[in-house]
Amino acid sequence: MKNVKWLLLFVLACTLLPSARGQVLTEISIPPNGDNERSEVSQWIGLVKISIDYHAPNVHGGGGADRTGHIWGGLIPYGFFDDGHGPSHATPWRVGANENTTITFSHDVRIDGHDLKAGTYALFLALDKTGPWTWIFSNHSTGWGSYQYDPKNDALRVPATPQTAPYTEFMTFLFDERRPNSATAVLQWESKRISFKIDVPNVNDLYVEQIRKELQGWPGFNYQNWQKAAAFCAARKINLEEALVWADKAIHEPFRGVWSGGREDFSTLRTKAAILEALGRQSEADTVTAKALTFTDTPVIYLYVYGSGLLAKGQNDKALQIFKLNQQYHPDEKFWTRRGLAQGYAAVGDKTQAIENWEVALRNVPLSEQSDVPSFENALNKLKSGN
Amino acid sequence: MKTCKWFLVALFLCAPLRSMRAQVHSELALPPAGDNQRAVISQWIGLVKVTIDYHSPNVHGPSGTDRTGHIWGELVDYGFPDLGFGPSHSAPWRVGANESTTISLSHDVKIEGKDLKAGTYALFLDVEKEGPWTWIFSKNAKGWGSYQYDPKFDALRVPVTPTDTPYTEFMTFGFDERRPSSTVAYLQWEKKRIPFKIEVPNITQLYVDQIREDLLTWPGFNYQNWQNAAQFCADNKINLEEALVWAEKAIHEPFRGAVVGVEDFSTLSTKAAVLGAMGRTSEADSVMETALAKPDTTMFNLYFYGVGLLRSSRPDRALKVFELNQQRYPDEKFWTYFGLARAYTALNDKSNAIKNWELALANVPSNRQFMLPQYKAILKKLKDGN
Repeated sequence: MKNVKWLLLFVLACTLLPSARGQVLTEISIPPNGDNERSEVSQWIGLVKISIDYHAPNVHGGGGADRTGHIWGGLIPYGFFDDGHGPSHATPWRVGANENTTITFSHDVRIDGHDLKAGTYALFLALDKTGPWTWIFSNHSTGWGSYQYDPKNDALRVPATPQTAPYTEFMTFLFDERRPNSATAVLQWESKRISFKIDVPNVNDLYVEQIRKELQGWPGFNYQNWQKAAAFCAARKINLEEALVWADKAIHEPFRGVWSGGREDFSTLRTKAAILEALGRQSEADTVTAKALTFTDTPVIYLYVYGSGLLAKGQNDKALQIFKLNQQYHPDEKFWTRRGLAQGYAAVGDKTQAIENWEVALRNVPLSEQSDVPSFENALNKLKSGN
Repeated sequence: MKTCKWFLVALFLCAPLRSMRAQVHSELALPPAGDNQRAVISQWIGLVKVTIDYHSPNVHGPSGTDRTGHIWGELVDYGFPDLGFGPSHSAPWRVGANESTTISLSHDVKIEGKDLKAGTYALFLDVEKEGPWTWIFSKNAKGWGSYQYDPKFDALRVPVTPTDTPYTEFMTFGFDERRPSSTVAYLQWEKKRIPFKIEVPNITQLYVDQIREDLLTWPGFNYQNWQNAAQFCADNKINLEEALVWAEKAIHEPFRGAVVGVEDFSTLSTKAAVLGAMGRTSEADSVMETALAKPDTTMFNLYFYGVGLLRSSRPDRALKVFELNQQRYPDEKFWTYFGLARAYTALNDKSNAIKNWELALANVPSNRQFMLPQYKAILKKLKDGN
C-alpha cells in the first residue's frame, strides 16, 4: 500500500533507526500505525484451532477519501511490487496493515487440498489483474508489512479466484462453511471476497488420540468417560476394536477405588451393543441389548429415544416392543411412554391404538414439550383424517 | 432454541444425569453438540480488547433443512420463552449454540452509551416480533445455553433495532466501524443484522496510564521510550505537564548507567512539540533553534519540521527551515526543492514555487516516481493559475 511508505518515513523521522528493531517488550504502548485497529478471528474445526491476526484498514482511508474502485490494482498494486523499502523489491500484499497478517494452525491441515504443517505463518496475497490471485503462507511470520518478504520462506502458495461481494468498509477476515471437518477462511473488503478452504481430513483421529490421552488422566477415573469415548467411536464407526475395550471397561472395571467400579446398566450396555453393531457382530450385539433391556430402572426417556432410533432405521416392530417395555417399566408415566406407543403403533399401521395413545400423551404433555404441542396435534389429526 | 432440547435428550442418553454437573476438566474432548463449531472473534479498540466466544449454528440445521424464514420467532422464540429445562422459566436466546455466548471486555466501556465494567459476561438477545430487540449482558457467564438465565444477574440491557442484511448461512459475530475509540459489534444471521456500539471515550487517557506504567519497567531504561511517550502526549494534547518532564528526561537523564539521555534533533523536536501543544510557541521555537543547529540533523529531519510548520500555518518559518535544508544539504536535489516549492506555494510566491517545483520534478527519486503524475498536475495548476 502506497501510503504505508509515508508512515514509514514518519516512523523513521520520529524514532531513530535502531529502535525499529527493538523487541516488543522494550517498547511502550502507543496506538497502532495509521489507526488501523487490531483484530483477531479464530475458528475451531473440532479440536483444531485456526487464528488469523491482522490490522484492518478501511476503504475510506486516513484522510476520509472514498477509495471505492481504487483498492484493487490501485491502493494495492497487482502482482509482486516494489514497496520502496527494503530488503524486498518484489513483494505481495500483507493482507492488512502494519505488522504482517498471521495465521496460526494448532494442527496439520490441508489448504485447498495441499498439506500445511501446524504453526504460525505470515499470510500474503498476490493480486492479479486477469487471472487467479495467490495466497502465500510464509514461514517468516514476524515481519512488519511485507517489506521483508522473501519467496525462499514460502511454505505454500495456492491460487484463488476473487468474487464480487457486498460492500465492506473495513477489511475483514471471517470464517464460513464451519463444518465438522472443514471451514472456509474468507477475506472480504470493498466489493471483493476471496477465500481458501481448510480441511482437517483426520478430525476423527485427532479426537480419538486426544480422548485416548485424556483417559490416561483424571477423566479416566470416571466410568462415564470410558462410555462416552466408546459411544463417540460407535457413532462415527471409527476405532471400533479399541472402543469395544473402552465400553467393557466402563461396564466392568473398578476404577482404582476412587469411584465405585464400573457400571452395568442400560446405557453402558447399549453403548457396547452399538459398537458390536458397527463391527457387524449383530448376534453378539443383540445379546448385549437384550441384557440392557432387563434393567427396570432405566429412565423412561432413554428407552423412548432408543425406540425412536429404531423407528428412524425402519425397525418398526422392534421399536414397538421397546415402547411396550417402556410402559411396562414405567406404568405411571403418561407422556413419553404413550408418545412412543403412539409413534410405534402408527408405524406398524395400527391407527386405533396410535390415536388412543396420542390422546393420552396429549393430556400429559410436560412443560418442556409444550412448544411442540401443535406438531403432536398435527400428527394426531393426520391419523384421524386418514381413517 | 427448540432443537436444544434434543441435544439435551441426546446427552441424557449418553450419560446419566449427574454427569451434567461434572466439571469441565473432568470431561472428554468430544465434538460440540449438534456439530455447531466454536468461534472466537476479538477486536481491539486501542488497548481495549473485546472478545466474543460462541458456537455457530447454521440456517440449514443438522438435517440439512432450509430454515430460511423460520429462524426468527420460530427456531429462536420471540421474547422470553420457557425452555422447559433448568431453573429459568423465562429465558432469552443464548445467541448461538451450546455454552452461553460470552463477551469479555479488558477495560470499562460504554455499550450504546451506557457504562459497562470490564469483565466477562454472558450475552443474550431478546428477539421481538415488533419493536426493538434487547441485548442482555449477564454476570452469570458460565451457563450452558440460557437455561440458567436469571434477570437478577443482568449487568446491562440495551435495545437495538435489527436491520435487513444479505443472507448469512452461519450465525456470525463481527466487528465493523473499527475506529480508534469505538467499534460496532454485530450479530449477523439469515437475513438479520443486530448491532451494538462499544465506545472507549477515555482511550487516550488509557494510553497515558499504560505508558506511565510501561515507563516504570524495562522500557523506562531507554531514552527513546520517554521521548515517544512525550510525543504521544503532544500529538494528542493530553497530559502535557508530565509530558514535558518525560521529554526532559529523554534529553538529560542518565539512565542508571544503562543508557544515557540524548540531546539530538529528534528528542529536542519532541520537547518543542510538547511546548507547542501547551501554547508556549516561542519556547518551542527556541528549542527548535538548538535542534536545527545539531550537526546530526538530517535532511529529512529538516524537511519534516518544515512540513509541520506549514501544517501549523507558519509558512514564513517553514521557508527559513527549507532554505536552511538546502544550504545544509546542497547535493540533495529533490526533498529540499520539494520543501521550498511547498513553502513558496503557501506564501503565494508563484514564480519561486514554479521554479522549485521544476527543479524537484527533474530529480524525483525512483521510489517516488509513482507520484509523478500527481506532482505534474500540481505544477500545471500553479502555472495555469498565473
